[in-house]
Amino acid sequence: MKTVAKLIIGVILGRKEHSKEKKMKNIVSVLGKWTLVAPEGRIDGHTSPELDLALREIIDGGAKNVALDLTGVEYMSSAGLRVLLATYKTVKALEGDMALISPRDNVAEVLEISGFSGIFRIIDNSQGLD
Amino acid sequence: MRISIRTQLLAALIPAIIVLFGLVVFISFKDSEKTVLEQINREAYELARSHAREFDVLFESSRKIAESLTLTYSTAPALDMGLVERAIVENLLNNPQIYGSTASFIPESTDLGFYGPYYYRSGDTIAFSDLAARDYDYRKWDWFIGPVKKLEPVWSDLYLDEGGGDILMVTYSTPIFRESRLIGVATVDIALDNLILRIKKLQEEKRIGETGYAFIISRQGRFIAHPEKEILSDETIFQLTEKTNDPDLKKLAGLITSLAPNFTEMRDPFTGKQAWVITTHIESTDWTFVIVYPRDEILKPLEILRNKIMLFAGLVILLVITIILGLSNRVTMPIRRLVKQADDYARGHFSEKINEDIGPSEIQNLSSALNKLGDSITEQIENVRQTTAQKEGYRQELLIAADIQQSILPQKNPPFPEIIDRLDLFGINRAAREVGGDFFDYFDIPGGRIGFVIADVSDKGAPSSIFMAMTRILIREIAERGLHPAEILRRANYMLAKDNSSAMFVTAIYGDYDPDSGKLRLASAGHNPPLIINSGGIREIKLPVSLPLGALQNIQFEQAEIMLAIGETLFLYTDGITEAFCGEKAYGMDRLAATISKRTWDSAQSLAETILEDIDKFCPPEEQADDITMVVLRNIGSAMEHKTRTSCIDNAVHLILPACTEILATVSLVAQKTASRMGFEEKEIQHIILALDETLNNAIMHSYPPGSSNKLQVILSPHEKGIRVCVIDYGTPFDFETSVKRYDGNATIDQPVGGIGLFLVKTLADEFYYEPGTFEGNRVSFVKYLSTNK
Repeated sequence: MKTVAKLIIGVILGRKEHSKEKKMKNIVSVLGKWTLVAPEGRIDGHTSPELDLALREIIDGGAKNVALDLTGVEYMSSAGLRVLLATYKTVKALEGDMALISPRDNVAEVLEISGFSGIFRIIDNSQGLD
Repeated sequence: MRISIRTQLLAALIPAIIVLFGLVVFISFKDSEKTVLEQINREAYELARSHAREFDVLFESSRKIAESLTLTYSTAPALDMGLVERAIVENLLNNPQIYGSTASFIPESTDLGFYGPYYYRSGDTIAFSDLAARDYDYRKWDWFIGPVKKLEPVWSDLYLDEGGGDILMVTYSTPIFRESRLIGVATVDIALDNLILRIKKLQEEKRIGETGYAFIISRQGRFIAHPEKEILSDETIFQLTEKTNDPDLKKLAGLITSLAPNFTEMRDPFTGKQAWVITTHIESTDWTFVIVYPRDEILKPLEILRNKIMLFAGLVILLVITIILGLSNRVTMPIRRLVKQADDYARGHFSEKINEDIGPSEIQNLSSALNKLGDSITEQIENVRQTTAQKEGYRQELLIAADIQQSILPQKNPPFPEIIDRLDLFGINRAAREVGGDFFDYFDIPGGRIGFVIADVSDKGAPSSIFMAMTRILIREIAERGLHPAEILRRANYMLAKDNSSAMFVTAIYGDYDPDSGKLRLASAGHNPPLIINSGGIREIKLPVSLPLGALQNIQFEQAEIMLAIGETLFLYTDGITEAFCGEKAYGMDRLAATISKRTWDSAQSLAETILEDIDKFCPPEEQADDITMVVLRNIGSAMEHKTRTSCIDNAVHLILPACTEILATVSLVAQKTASRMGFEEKEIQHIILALDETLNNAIMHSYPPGSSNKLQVILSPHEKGIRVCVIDYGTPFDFETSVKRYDGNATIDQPVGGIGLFLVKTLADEFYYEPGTFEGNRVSFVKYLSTNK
């Protein structure tokens, strides 16, 4: 039998710097009543707490209407969905709103498959914001 | 050393008899000796005394004659020659024992003057001799001087009368007194020839044994009537004693001087022989009468007696020996025959018989018992022979049965040559006895699939083999109708349990395999779980639990579906492997897993053989207690795919990772690369990445406590149909069924946050399994097919 190729942990650790670079970055701007947040990179189990924290800070800072520009999000898992759901609940409670702007295909598919596309407002670009 | 009965009897009896007779001889000899000696003593003493008395009588009468003669001369009114000589002659005439007599007068004291007339016997006449003759002159002689000087009678010593013809004589001389004045001496001469002759005759007449003799020793120590000693010419005993210093002579001399009668054992100084010496004193003359009785002659009769007794004893011993020999022969002869009989038996001649009527009753009983033993052994041998033949017959039948049984197991190898490029299938069965209760089977079933069975009938041996044959036919018959495994088992169970009076049952796994897709469907009837072996290791497949076949009639079975990826192996076995005991120790699952993991095998057959070899190393095959059966089914892909498989195997990814979210991005990258290389479309790759990410995140978040440094494994196994992704964690198992149901894809604003990840995986993957608590850990796996295969 041929030996099974293994990627050992050391290899992964060696590539950690690279993965850090891919880490999510948030760019925040204000457009009308909307506070525009543009996270970048992956939103997974590891990075979602960071996004969650950032969004909470923004909302705590007085923002009610949060628009998430997902153009820079390469990937999103259910952990990201949970942050979006939590944020959505919070702004709704403040009588605000949340919008998702131009998710990539794979992210849109996740929203679609998971059924969340039914409750979130998803628009193609920031011009769609009222 | 072994001693025969005969020798023992002889050894015991002969010395006893000898000692007994020895004692008898000794005691009787001593007694007789005493008696004989006493008798001899008495006889000899009597002899001596009577002879001594004769002397005494002679001498006393002679003395009286002399006294009366003296008295005549003392009392005669007048002494004249006529009176003197008349008295002498009268004395001679009246007393024949007197040889001669005289009256000789002191010349000055009487008128008779120098006068000594002596009359003596000469033949039949009486002769005269004048002692007053000049050439004699009686006044010079001791017989005259003695009485004159002593004024009392005197016995002369012995002397040989030369005048009268060498007659041995002794003289009694007595003084003659007249008117109280010594006037002369009267004598009587006593001839001892007669007496001596008689003493000598004692010897001649053998009155004292053959060679015994008697003699007298005079007061002066002279020997009288001694066969060798001359009375006058030889020396006296005292002179002899002094001269020779012979102790025996000295002793004899001592005896003589003692006046008491004696009976002494001593050496005869004259002959040198041992003898009894009897001495008796002759009072009148102070002589000693001696009888010498040779000891050997005294004891001769005793020796004769002793010899007779010894002869008798010898005869008795001879008789006893003869009796013992006869008796022991009579006793041991049957024993010897018994020994011969036993020897015959030892050589296997059990039909030999011995006569039971010979010997004492004990021996007869023994003979009878031995004969019975022989009969019984012969009978037993016959029985054993028959039983052995019968057993051999049974064994032959069993061997034939075993042949038949082996022949109904699949014989073809490879079993399905037409799909040899995709399926590597091998089954083996080794029964503990001639025939067994295990079996395996595989066959074509409708739909291009392969049906396979492994089963283990309760119990072993012939009964279970029949049940096994029955089960095999039944399952095959049902399976060929193309039913699914659970139904096949249900029907087989129904038939087996119906009228199952023997209460036998059989554990089994029935499965079918689609060699095109690698899809396995398995149903178990109480059988031990099969194993899946792949590059990631070994895992047990937990199949739905149910009763064995034949136990209860109406029971339902469930089946499981598993994908067997290329390179994966399904291993079915019976508990004869894991429960192969060597003493107290079982072969066990751990050793089985270790043997498989060594990877010294490269085919289904070599895996089975490797395991069998290791079991035999663990415990020798002759000690195998239970049937051993294995079925190995390997998915090796198609001939073309085989190459792919090889590259797939090369590209299989096995990650061991810390259980923390930092790894998620990296694993996604690895999964992307792997899936991409396999030829998945971009969308599919995203699905695989997402499903893996969700699975992994789930394991990290829920199986381990926060901050744990535990490891988990991710295995990405590509195969020709798609990719198999497996996440193994070692933490707390979770309730998969509930978690999966928490989210159904209908999102609401009040949606709880859990369950979304699992929902995504379930939705994105083509197959999805959760196996908690396998010996490898909790396994969550999913399969994503390549779109070309959908």
